[in-house]
Formats: sequence, C-alpha cells, structure tokens
Amino acid sequence: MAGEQVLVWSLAGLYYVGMITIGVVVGRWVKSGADFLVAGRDVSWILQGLGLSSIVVAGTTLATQGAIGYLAGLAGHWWVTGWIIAVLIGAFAFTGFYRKTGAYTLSEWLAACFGKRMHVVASITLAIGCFFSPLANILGGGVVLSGLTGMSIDAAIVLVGVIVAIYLFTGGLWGALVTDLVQWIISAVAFLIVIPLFILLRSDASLWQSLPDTYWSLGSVPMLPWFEWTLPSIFGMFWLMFSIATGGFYWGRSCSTRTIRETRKAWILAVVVSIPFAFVAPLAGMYVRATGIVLQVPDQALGVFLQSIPVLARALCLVAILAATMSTVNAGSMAGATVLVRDLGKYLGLKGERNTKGARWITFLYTLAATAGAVAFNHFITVLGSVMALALLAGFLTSLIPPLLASMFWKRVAREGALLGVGFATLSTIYTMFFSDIWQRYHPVFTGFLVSLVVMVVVSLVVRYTRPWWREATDF
Amino acid sequence: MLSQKERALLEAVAHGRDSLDHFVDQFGMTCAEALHLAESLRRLGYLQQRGTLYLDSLSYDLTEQGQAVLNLSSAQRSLREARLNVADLQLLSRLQHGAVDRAQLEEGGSDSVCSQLAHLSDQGYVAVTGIFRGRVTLTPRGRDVLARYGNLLDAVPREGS
Repeated sequence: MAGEQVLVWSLAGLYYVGMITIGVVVGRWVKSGADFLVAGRDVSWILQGLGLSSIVVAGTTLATQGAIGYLAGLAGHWWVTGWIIAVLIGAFAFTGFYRKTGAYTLSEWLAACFGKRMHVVASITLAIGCFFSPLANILGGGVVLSGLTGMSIDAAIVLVGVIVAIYLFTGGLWGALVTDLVQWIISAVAFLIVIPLFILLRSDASLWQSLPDTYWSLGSVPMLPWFEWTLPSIFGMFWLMFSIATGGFYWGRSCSTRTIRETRKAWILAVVVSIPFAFVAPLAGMYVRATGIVLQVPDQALGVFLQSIPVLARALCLVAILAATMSTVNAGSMAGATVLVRDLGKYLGLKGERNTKGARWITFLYTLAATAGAVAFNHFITVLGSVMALALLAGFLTSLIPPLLASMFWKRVAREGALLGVGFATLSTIYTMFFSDIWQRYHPVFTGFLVSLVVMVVVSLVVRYTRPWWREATDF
Repeated sequence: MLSQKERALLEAVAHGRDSLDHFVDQFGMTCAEALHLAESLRRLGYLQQRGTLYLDSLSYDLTEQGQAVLNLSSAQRSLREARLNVADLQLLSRLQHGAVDRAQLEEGGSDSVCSQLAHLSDQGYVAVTGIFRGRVTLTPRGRDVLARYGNLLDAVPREGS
C-alpha cells in the first residue's frame, strides 16, 4: 500500500509540475489583454474542440455517471449525451453568432443590445454564475482525490484549486487550452482504453446476467432518490447542459477561435470525440453492481472499480480524474474572470483589460475564491454540495438565455424587459436556493429561465404602449 | 462631417470587413462601441444592415451615400473588388516566399492582425494552420490576387492595418 501511495503521488506530482510548466511556457505568448482573455483569437479548431470535450469530462461527471451506472445502468450516459445534444445545437445555431459579434463575453453582447444597466446586471449574474462552476468541480474533484489518496478533503480541494490558479495566472486562456489538450489525452487513455480494457478482460456473459434488463436501457432516466431533484428527466439533463453551454459559459471559447468556420468545426469535433466518454463511467458502475458489491454511497462506484485494477492503471486513472477535474475548473475560472476584467473592470476601476498584470491577478484571485468557496461548501452544505453548486451555475446562466435569443430573433424586445427579466430571474434563483424549499421540487435551471422569459415578454409588451422607462446615454 | 473613426469604419466595410467582430478587433473597441458606431452610420444613411435577424444583423453594407462620401484612392478602389485593402496586400506580399508564423506578423499588437487574418482566411487568400500558434500560408487564390494587384504596392505609401 505504501508503494502504491508513492506511485500515485509521484504521477500526480509529475502531472502538477507538467501543468504549471505548460502555463509558464505558453505565458510567453501572452502580450496583451486580448492574448490573455481570448488567446488573441488564434485558437485552432482542434485545440478548441478537444478543450470543449475536456470540459464535460469532469471529475464530477465521472463520479455521477458511475453512481447512475451502479444504481440504474446505461441511463447514466445522458449526463454527457445531454451535453452532446446541447453542443450540437450550439454548433449550428449559436457559436457562429457568438464569434461574429466580436464580444468577449455574453454580458458584453447584451450590453451592446440593451445598454449600460443591462451590462452591469448581466455581468454580475454571469460572473457569479460562472463562479459556481470551478467551485463545484474543485469540490467534486477534491472529494474524489481525498477518497483515493486518504488526504483530507480540504487539503485535496486546496491542492486542485491552487494548481489551476497558478497555470491560469501565467498562461490565461492559452494556459487553459493547452493544459486541456494534455488533460484530454490523459483522460482518453484512462477512460477510453484502460477502463474498458479491464472491464472487457474481467467480464463474461454470466457476470452481466445478474443485472436487471432495465440496466441496459438507453432511453430512460430512473427516478433515483437523491437525483430526482436535480435531473428528473432526459429533458432535464439536456436543459441543464444547454443552459451552461448557451448561457455564456462557452462564449469566450467560441470567440477565441480563428474564424467563424473554425469555431463551428471545433464544436462539432467536441461532440464527436465526447460520445465514447458517455458510456465508460456508467459501464464501470454497472460492473461494480454486477460483481455484487453493495455501496452505501453510489458516488464511490467508480472509485471501487478502480481499486480492483492493477496499481499502475489505477494511478493513471487517478491522475486522469484530476486532469478531468482541472480542465472543467479552468473553463469556469476563465469565463468568470473574463467577465470581471472585460465587463465589470471599468466600473470597479480595474485596469485589467489592457494591462495583462491586472487580468492575471483577477483570474488568480477569482480561482482562489472559488477554492475557498469549495471548502465552505464542503463544511456547510455537506449533502450534494457540488450538485447544488452546479444548480446555482445553471440557475444564473439560464436567466441570460431569453435576452440572448431575443437579440438574435426578436428585435422588438424592450431593454426594460430584457433587464428586468435577468434581474428577477437572478433574484428568483437566489430565493429558490437559499430562502425557500422550492428547489426541492423545481430545479432553478427551469425556474430561472421561465421567470426571465415571462418577465422579458410581458414588460416588452407593456413598454410598447408606454414610453421607454429610462433613457440610455447611447440612445439616438 | 464624419469623424476619423466613422470614416475608418466606412473604409473597413468598403474593403470587406463588414461585421461587428472586425470592427471590435480592428479598432480595439468593445462590442457596444462598435455597434453604436455602426448604428449611428446606419441612421445617417451611410450603412445598411444586411438583415434584421441572426447573423445578417451583425453585418453591414455601404449605401450609395456611404460610397460617395469615401475618398478612396485609385489603388483602394481597385482593391475593393477583391475585398482587400493596402495593408492586406502588404501582408500577402510577406507570405510569397513561404509560410510565416503569426507571431512574426504581429507588429501592432494581436488585435488588428487577428482581424486581418480572419478576413483573409474567410476570403480564401491565406490558410492559417497549426494546432497551437498560427502559421500563415499564401493559398493559390492568394497568389493570384497578389499577382493581379501587387503592382499597387509600389503606388501607395505603407499604411498600417
């Protein structure tokens, strides 16, 4: 066991040093705010596509899929398949639009459409929403890391968060993208080769016969006790992923690609290479169930499976889980930090835009704040901590979708409607999650969107009959 | 009386850089500034939006009034057909002896070069390859246009993009 720990920590240490080294090396490419925030819009479709795929392959994804696989079978694929469908829609409907606006963030675009007040409200909503993504994944990754290494959860959380903060400080979006590539390769080797190989080597037909037939169903999501609040349906999983993909989280990624054509290719590549990942973790969970192991905490299914494979393979998979976690953490950190630098910075007197030093420190501190938040969630929201953080991410982001859609397809929307829609939806998410028990019945990804949409439409219709409720400096 | 920025935006549209992403990158503006400037010129009658919805709403074309107000040189008028400006021609000429790393092309900061390369890539004059930093190569179409208009480089003073 001691030898195994040495091997695990050696590989993990090598990985951490590698990530920081990448951040330092690509940091030499960063000469301006545009280079730091959107990689100078010089990102190839291959780097972008694999980077997007690495976002969905997160530590929390794997643990959740493993749990669903253990409890209910292949239906766990919908966690990733929902994302795949959302990104496929985005490839044809949204990503080209994002790129063509020239905006670095969704809030920057909404400001162009609806004015300065919207700029402030949308930026705050987006920055807070994005904050919960690194928080959720640092927390989830820390829990997994703790379970596999024996270190305390707090220490594991801090380790994950600090490493990401360092390579983002040095490399910005380039640091995120190039580490994503390495992280994707490690994840692909571990989860598309090593795990399926061991499942295949150790399986025979009689093993799988112990599972109910429903375990092989692709089409239905079971009503699992701890799961039914979060994602009670296939549509729920899809909508969660659609809200994250469309509500501004991937905007900066799209806008960093070289051309509109390349950004579409990138999103399609992400879809194609993510398909295999949808099935591996559920299969591992099913394997554990088929062997007769009884788990009190289904999240441990993947970890239990890994305990049954040789130590070298297990160590590689551990590093892959870390890699999968970090690639998702850096996406949320860059998305949120870009909003702070590009959008809110000027209202706060920050000079991060042209000054890369300012952008670096804002990104670093934002990531550390998410790390601190993950520690707090671990202590004060002990049940479903990362899942609740994900709900907050989705709840905030989904409120921005109605004004985005209106800016694309409904020119008669009033700025008052767009602004009040986002404002009320944000407040409803906060109320839902922290001051009521509504969240136990209705996920904020639904309530946030509906509130934003209804308020936007109703107020826009009212404004048609009244004069505009306020003037903006940019009015003609 | 048009401001220098307004005139520069009209010239950009004249030479094929007709969407918001180009305005943002070429002039170092935010999206709101770029949209406000374009809308201001549209209301004055110099520009028209290509469409009201979706992607077309992000692109603009010169009206006759807009074309009339521009005082393009004969070289610039020639290049309009190919949706190029003089800076584009200068960049293309730097590529005629082989591929060049994008980092080498970045003289005034990455903002303007990225707009230029995106535009030239869309027009098919260059190919930007490379998984990491871009490497820029002249395409056969780019060689043709350089052969057709390259003599104009001698006729005009060097200008930035």
